Formats: sequence, structure tokens, C-alpha cells
Amino acid sequence: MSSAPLLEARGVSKEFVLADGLVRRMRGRPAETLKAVDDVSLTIERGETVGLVGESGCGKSTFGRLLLRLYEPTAGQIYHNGINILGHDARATRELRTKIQVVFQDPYSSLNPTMTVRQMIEEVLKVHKVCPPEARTERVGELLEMVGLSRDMAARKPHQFSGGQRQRIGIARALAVGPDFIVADEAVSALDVSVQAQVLNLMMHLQEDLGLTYLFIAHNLGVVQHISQRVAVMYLGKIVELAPSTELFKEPLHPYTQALLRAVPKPIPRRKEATPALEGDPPSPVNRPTGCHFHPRCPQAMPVCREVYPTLSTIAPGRSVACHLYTSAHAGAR
Amino acid sequence: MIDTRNGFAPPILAEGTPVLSVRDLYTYFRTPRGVLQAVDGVSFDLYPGETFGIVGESGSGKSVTCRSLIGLLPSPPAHTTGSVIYGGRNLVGLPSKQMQKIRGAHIAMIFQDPMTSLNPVMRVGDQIEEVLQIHTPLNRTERRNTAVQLLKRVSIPMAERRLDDYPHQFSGGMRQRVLIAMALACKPKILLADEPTTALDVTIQDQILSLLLALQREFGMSVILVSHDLGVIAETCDRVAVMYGGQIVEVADTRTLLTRPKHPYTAGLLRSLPGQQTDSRYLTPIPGAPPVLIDPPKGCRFFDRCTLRAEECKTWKTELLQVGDNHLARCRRHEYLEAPNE
Repeated sequence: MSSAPLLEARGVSKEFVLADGLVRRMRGRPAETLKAVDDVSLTIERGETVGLVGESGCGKSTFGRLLLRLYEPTAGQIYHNGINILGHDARATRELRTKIQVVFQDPYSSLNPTMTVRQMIEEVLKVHKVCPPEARTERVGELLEMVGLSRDMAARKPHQFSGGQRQRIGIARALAVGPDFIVADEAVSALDVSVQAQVLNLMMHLQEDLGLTYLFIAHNLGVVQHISQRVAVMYLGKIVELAPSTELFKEPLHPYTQALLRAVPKPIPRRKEATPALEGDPPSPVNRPTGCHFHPRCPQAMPVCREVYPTLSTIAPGRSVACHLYTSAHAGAR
Repeated sequence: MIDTRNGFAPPILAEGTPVLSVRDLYTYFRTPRGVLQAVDGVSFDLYPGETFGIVGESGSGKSVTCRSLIGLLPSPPAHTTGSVIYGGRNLVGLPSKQMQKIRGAHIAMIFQDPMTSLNPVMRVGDQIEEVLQIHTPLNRTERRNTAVQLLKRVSIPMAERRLDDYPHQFSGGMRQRVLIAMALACKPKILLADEPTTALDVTIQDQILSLLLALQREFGMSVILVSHDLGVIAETCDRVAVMYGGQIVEVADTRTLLTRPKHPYTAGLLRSLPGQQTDSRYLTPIPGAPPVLIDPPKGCRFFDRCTLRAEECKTWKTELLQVGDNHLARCRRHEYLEAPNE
């Protein structure tokens, strides 16, 4: 094991081309692009859970998919255990896929309805050549027990399971190849709270037993607060705040994080405030505002916010924020 | 009005006579695998100006209850019995012609998914005006003006211009605003909101809930809000019914329900919510999964998952018991329940 962080993204960007073509080019117009992830750097240490939150369209899922190499980044580098994972050949990529795995949101559509659980998990073992054929049945049983299901359930098909059980199967399938890093993309979002708590507990137990590292992508802030040690908040493709979970939820710094936390309805008896925490819709990632992307909705916007994008800067140990309110030159304006 | 058979006493807390009185509502579906009892003997009253929450997990029957109230479920396969008294009439079994006059004009409904509830090939303005055309005597210009006013009231910028836009030109939050505008077009007495913010981001959910509460005060409506999110219910509702396995298992005012629940399911739900200050890293889930409603268990539906269960619960013919002032719970061992945060 090296001393390098388990996973490191350096200046990673992803642009999707929306409209391009001969006619467009002949008219001298550039391709229309959508910058889903914009110059994101994030370091994840071994055994850690980092939460990634933000509203739909903020690029959090795209970022997860870049780490999985389901998309190729437009710019930037990604390191796993100190090794650059981009630009590898197909074989090295396949090897890498045994180390980085994913659990998706929808336990209904991410499992093949025509296959039994045994077939699904054995397929993974076969493709990645991680288990000799004669040991596969035993391994499937072992994996099912690991996620709190019983061995005899291996013969069943997905429709015979409840939502929570299906998500457990998704987790067993991810664990089959022995990964050290798991991207959990809204992994418990489709589940009811009573079952969601079961699956979250399972994920935390597995983390302790197997030394797993998680990137936990979710829009549910309560879930992220509970499972994560550190949390990154994304807005329109950029990380706007990064902090230890307890500190972020106790004292959010970025005006967007503050609004986000205030907007979450809490199960305590109190009347809802008459004015919403944040007005307006998130802006379109195709046509992004100049300067700080958040300035059109920000209650504390200053003239500089319209002009200059604030860089993500460290303002206390472990705490970074991208906001002009906290940079020295403008701090007086607070 | 007291239905003694279910031990159901209307709460004294809410004032006036109920605008809607639901008694022994049963809705079942015939499925190839058997009869699915989705709503199993639901009774409650809705009072003028109050927000009544129905909370429960998927499959608990909360949405089917809501739809059964105004006959929105196709029959067959759905079959509804019981009484839903509105304005002295039972809405269950009302001929569809008469039901259509009540829907929209007296009782309006908004749904979870604002995209599928709007006609994608019809301009938003025309959709609002259609409601007015059916239910009001307004002429064309008046309808147009009313539509503009409605869009303005739900805070859609540049309302006059946006009337000519199609649903796909609106964001999710804006579409839900359009649906609210349509629902309010005839100033209904009751608004049924079925997971109105579930598909939306939290900042947009926050906006829509603020808007709904403001409009409720302005129009003096009663609202039934169906949600799986105890947070949403906590911030918006005056009283709450918790549904489990097709039945109401607890009814109380919101504060009591959240602080001193008397049904182990309600207490378990509150305990399993993440994001609370606890000493342990681990959450306290409710073990197991909800019951299947084809041939449900005879006694208490929560038996398999309950921490308080006793052998008799298995055969107990469940009923809502008075456990406090205006507080009913379907648990015969409620005295043994500890408050979730103790």
C-alpha cells in the first residue's frame, strides 16, 4: 500500500456536446456544450466516506461516473492509489474496475429481471476472473450472507425481492469483485425511511469490516450528514464548499449551503417559515451566469460576484469555500 | 357522526363542522394473485381551514385513499365502499357526471409528477382556461384575464407571455406552480395534494410548500397533504394520520405525534430518520418489510416488525383506541411505548 490517497481527482472537467454539425460549423458557430463538471478537485482518503450533495443537474452524478470511467473526462487527471487511471488500455481498465465499483439508485432497473441472483453475481465473477468456476457457488452464498440475505435466495429473480432486498443484491454484486472504493449514487434514495436505515447500517458495517471507501452521492442531506465524514457541496458543476460533516451542518459558510440546509424540512414541530430559503430555479448549465454561478439567487451578492468566479480556497483546516465573502479582499463587505 | 364501531371520535381540537367526513372507506383491487385490500377501513374528518397530513411508506395506501375520496380510481379493477360525506352527499358511488362537477370546482387535486399531469401538446394558458370554461360562466376574455391573474398569484414571472408556452418550456418547480394555479382556478373548498413536492429539489420544494401555505390562508381552503416525508408533514400540517398496511394506525395533532407517538410504527419511523443527534454511528431501523396486502395478517399488521408485540396482538381485531386528547392509536400495548428520543 502506498501513502497516496485512495482516490484523487485533479481539475476534472466534463463537457457534453449538445449541438454540433456541418451546418452549424459552416455558419461559423461553435458547438454548443454543457459543462456538467467544471474543474473539480477532490481527494478521498482510505476508509473515508465523502458525501457529495447538490440539486439535480449540479453534476454530482456525472462526477461519480467520471471516477468509474463510465465517462471520459474532457480535462483533468484521476488517480487511484497514486496511479493515473486515465489513458489505460482496456485490460488495465478492467482490472481497475475490480477496485472501483458502483451502487446505483434504482434497485428495480439496475438488476436484470430475467436472471436469478446467482446468475447475476456469477456473471460478474466470470467476467472479472476473480473466482475459479468451482468456487463460484460458495462465493455467491458468502456474498449474500454478507449483505444480510440468506444463501437460498440465490435461486430467486429480482421481482421476488422487496426494494430494500434488491438494493442489498446491488451491493453484493458490487462487492463480488473485491473493490476498495465504492461510488454510491443515490443508493438509498428510492427506499422508504425504515428500510433506508437498514441499508445505511449495512453499508457502514461493510465499510468497517472490509475497509471500504465511499463517495456517497445523494440529494438527501440527512442521509449524507449521517454517513459522511466530509461533505462536498456542488452547484452548477463546481464544488462550492468542502468541510467535515459535523462542521458543515453546524455552521455552513457558503450562502448556497446555508439556503440548502434551511430548505430541508425537519421532523420537529415548528411552523414553516413564510418565505422560502431560496428564490428562483437553478440556472441552466448550458447558459451559466458570469462570475459566481450562484450570484443571481444569492441574498448576499456583491458587485464583484457578477464579475469574478471565486476560487475554492481553504479558510480553516479542512474547510474550503468558494465565496467572495470569505476572501480577504472582500471580507470587509460582510 | 361518531362511528362507535371503530371507536372513532372526531377530534374536538379542530373547530366547526367537518367539510369532509370519511367513514369506513375500503378500496380493494382485484389482481390475478388475489384481492389486494389497499385501503382498509379508513375514517377521518377534515375541518375548515386545516391541513391534514397523511404519512406512510410506499404501499401503505395513502395515495389510494386520496384518490378514492374523489373517485379517481378506475373501476374495475378498483372497488371502493364506505362514505365520503361532502356537502351532505356521499361521494362514493356518485354518478360520474355529478362527480365531475365536484372535482375541480369543490375538491381539486395536485399530483406528484407535474410533467405527466399536464397535457404536453396544449399551451399552458389553454389548459387553465379549459378548467374555467367547464366550471365557470366566464367568457373568453375573462377567462384569459383570470388565467393571467392565477399565474401571477403562483409567482410565475412574465405571466402574460408564459400563457402561450408549452409545459416542456417550464422547469419542474414552475410546472408544479402551473398545476397549483389550475387547481385553484375555481377556488375549491378542499385541495388534495398527493406528494406535491416529492419530484422536486429541496429548495424548490421549500418554495412550493411556502406558496401552498400562503394560498391556503388566502383562499381559506382545507388541505389534505399526502407525503412519505415526516419533515414535510411536520412543517405544514395541523393534524396527521399515519398509515400502515392500508389502515390508519395513529392520528394526532402534529406536535403530539412527533413528540409523544403512541404507535410503535410511528415511533420506529421517527427513530429511523437519519440526521438526528445520536451517540451511535448506526441508525435504528425498523426490522423487516411492510406486509403484502393480499391476504394480510389477521391481527395487527405491524406484528412482525414490532418491538412491543405480545402473543395476543397476532389475533387482536385491531381498532383505533383513544390514547390521549384527540389522539388515537391502533395499538393495545401503547402504554409500554417509550418516546423515540428517550
